[in-house]
Amino acid sequence: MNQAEFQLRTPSDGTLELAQAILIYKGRSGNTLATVHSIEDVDGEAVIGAGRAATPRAVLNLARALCKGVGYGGFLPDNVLYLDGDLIVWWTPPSMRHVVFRVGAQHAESFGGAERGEAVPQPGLVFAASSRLWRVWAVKGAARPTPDSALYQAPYFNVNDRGDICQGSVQVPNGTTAEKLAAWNDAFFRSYFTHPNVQRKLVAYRGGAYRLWRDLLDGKHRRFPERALVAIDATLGRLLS
Amino acid sequence: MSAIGALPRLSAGVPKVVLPTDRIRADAGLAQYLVQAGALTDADIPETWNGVLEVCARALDGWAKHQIGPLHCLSPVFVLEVNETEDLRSSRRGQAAGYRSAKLCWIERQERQWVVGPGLEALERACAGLGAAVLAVLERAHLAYPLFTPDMARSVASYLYWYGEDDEGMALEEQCDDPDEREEMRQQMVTRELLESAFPAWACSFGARPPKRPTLRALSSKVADERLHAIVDDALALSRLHLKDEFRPDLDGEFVAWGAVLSWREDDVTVRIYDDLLNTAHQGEYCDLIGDIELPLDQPARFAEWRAAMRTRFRAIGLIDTLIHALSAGDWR
Repeated sequence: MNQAEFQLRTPSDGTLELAQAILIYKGRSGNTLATVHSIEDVDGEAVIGAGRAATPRAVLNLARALCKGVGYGGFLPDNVLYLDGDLIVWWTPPSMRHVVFRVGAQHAESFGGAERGEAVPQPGLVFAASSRLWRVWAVKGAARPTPDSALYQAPYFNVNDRGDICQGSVQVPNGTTAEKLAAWNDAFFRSYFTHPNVQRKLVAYRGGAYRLWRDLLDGKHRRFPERALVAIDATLGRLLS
Repeated sequence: MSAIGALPRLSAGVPKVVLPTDRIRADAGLAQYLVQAGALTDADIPETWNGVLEVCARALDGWAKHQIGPLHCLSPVFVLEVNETEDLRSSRRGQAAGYRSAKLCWIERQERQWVVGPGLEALERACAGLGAAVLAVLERAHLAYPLFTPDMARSVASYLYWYGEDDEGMALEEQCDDPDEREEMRQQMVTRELLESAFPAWACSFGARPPKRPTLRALSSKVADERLHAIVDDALALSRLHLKDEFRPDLDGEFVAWGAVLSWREDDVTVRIYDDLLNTAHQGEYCDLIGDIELPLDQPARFAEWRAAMRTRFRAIGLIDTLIHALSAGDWR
């Protein structure tokens, strides 16, 4: 038989038990040796056990335990596609994302309101960001893009033909490291989409881009209709070469 | 003298256990919150106990177990996670503080595959439309506990493999240049034909909406078999619960918090699609919570309201569990 469970979690351990002691030896010229000792319980008394020299790794582990929450280096996440200097290219798979539109008065009625926001299906996207650029393209399918993957015009307002994202008043993250990707995604999706910004067709959808986004906001599509994406005659590999 | 006897003993003044004063205060504040929310009463306090949090945790766990009752297939886990405030962190430098807020979320501890096809087909044999009606009730109960059903497998296959289309045609055209390559890929991928052969049409609807199904109530009177009748009774009870769309997690990304995977046969394509969905989701952002709610710890009424609102869901979870168990257990030939 199974049973439901209810767990109560606190951010840190309530009780800390005496476990180890560190003895530090210092020479006059500044040389330092640290030894780490276990604490034994002998007849109810705490006894300092035999020690061993503290290795740099042991000291680092201790420092990390004392500085829990401080970030440190690690593996790159799967969604990072390319790195070169401060340029980082990453992918977001098709997903539901909350987006907000603030359209002009002439479109408000047909769009169902001047300001509308909903969690709606998004296509797979490839973003590129560096200290000089911030761009986005769409990709079809749910697989991680390869250099041969065809790129499509990102179907968003405020993105031009080259994929440049109009920054407007959006606060972008400071830096283009892997751990900032979520913040970059947030900066894009939490901006107001106000107007198409392309010379050519933004989407291949009956009624155009306003209609597509209205239908998405109205919940008419459970998944982003990928047939509406407009090809730009570029692949990820060609773009980066 | 033994070697260990020669080792230095720490003064008795060195504490073996440390519990920060502010932490004790914060834990007491949480207990008070639970008391005010009606989640911790005199009856919950044992004769002996080691810590306030242990008492609180035991009371909450006992409540959930009592409310939902014993389960056969599902293992829901509710987690109340309190957030340390900035002040509590700085309180280590001598300032007083407590927990400020908490987040309550729930998940399925171990989602598993349950083969419900033969059971549903037995219902369908007993009365045309009955298997479909019971499956529809389970699908509609996703507000209480989301289930990965055959129709969900179809929807996900369209999204994962077919570029949102109803079959693999466009995906093959996009990815393969020549017919041989296309055929080779078709052999390897999940195709519409594979799905249609895995599930009866009434369990997995392609294209147009399925015709309106007869109601369970209308069909239930036609079932004589006791075992089938019990299933119909539970499905009827589940369908009558008024489930609200609330406590939906505010997380971006693909939803993967399924409570169970309902396949038709042991080795059908459902689990493959489910695994592919999880693999894809885990490459980006995903939502692995069935429900969640923020609980400011200065508003105990919010927690009391949540407990009241969950009664219907708990009843639904129990009925879903009973239905999955009944449909997947035993010989239905």
